Amino acid sequence: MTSACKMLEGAFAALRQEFQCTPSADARTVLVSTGRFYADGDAVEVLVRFSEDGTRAAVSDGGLTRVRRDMFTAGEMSRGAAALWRDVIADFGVTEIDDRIYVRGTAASVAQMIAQIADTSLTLDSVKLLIEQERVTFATKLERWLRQEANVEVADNKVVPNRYGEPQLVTAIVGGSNRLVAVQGAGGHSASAVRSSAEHAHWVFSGLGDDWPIQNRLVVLERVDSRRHETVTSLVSRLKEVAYVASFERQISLRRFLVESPPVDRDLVTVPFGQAFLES
Amino acid sequence: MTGGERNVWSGCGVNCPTWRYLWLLWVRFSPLDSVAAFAASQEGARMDLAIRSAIQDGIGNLEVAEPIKWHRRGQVVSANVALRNTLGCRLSLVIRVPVPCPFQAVILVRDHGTHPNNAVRLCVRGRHVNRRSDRRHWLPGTHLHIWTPEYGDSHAVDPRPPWPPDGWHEDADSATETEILALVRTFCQMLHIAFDPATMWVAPDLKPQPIVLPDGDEIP
Repeated sequence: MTSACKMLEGAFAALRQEFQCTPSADARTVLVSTGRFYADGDAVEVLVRFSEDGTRAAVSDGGLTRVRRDMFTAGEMSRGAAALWRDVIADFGVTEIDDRIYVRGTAASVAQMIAQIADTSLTLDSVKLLIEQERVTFATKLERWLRQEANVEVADNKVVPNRYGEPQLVTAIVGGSNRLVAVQGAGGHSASAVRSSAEHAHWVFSGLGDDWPIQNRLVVLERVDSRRHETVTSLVSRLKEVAYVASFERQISLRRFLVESPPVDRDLVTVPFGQAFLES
Repeated sequence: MTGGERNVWSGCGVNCPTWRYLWLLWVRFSPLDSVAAFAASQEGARMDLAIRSAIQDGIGNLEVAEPIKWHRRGQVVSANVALRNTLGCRLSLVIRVPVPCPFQAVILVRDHGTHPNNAVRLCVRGRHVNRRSDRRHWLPGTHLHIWTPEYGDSHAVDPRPPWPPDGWHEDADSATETEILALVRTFCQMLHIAFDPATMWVAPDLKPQPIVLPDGDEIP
């Protein structure tokens, strides 16, 4: 046992070398590398600031944990992720203020404080994995794409009256160049789920009256299985009876339909609208 | 994700030299509208791969489209500006400067596509270990993260020319606003991003702002 410990002496020396101090632009604050690394291989570094008399110290992440979260994830945290974030902060006994996490104490306890903030930062960093894996519904994904990438105007209202005088909820109502388009997404984990959603879209649009002519209706399929050509053609043919049909995988066609005059063919899935595609 | 992306190229990763060469030839000799059409027509992951390869290879007429606006989170000032491009996707240039240590800036191109990711990321004088790939480390040292299907953006390499900027000191422990501008210019040149500092550059506020608590303790 002793000899095994002796064999590790060099390793311990190497680990100790990973703790380093770098001066910062502010004379009383230093940057400390903690010997810890995030999953992506970037070092966990913390800021240490001593009081003027040198008796007290505060250690913080300087907001880097929060910035990493913004850098690697798209969008806001869900309630679950936000709760986990708060719980980690509470469990590690640190405080969050102005986007930075910190702990403070006497100068004698600075080693524990550095470890405490470094460990908290590492644990908080894993919250981004939860954010990435949360299931975002296709309706949310489609609406986000319309607002953020297609840059089209999306109305806050998602309800249109159908020809029976009932309110009908759709995924989004988009203001195009010269017309409003009611958009209904059809998505799901499996081909059968997409089909069920598409059947619902057919039901939604078949209930609309002349206020919403065909060129003002669009069904967006989340994905199309190109290996099942006949099934896709059949599905699109049925949907074409009540609306234009596009695929979320063909985003140029999709966007062009929203901002330009609609083409003659209502099938934007198998017939490209300003978009060439290479079949695999 | 990784397995699926590799399969669409018939078992060969996107970095496979043959496919990469064919892809570059195709891109170079095709009208740019076709590049956009090609990129956008591919299924999810394949589209992302094509776009990231184009960004990394400096294809796509990337251009800083608006003046840089800085905002502060804690002790970090960041900017996120749109990149106009012919790839048909939403890209942005992100600059991140930790105020206490402005000599450790991070500059990256973010792809906000179906699978948002950082296509290329330059970490100036940063500490990094390629834990999942070749175990190379920079402790500290300037390195360039290149997104790959296998490792995401956790794999880094040495920065490529025109790095480093003129008069570069790798071991400097300070950086002025002018030096940060030089970093941004060099990064843009590296990826053929059009950037006109005269109209687009605004200097960041690099004054450290510790928080003073009511009892006098200061949080860095």
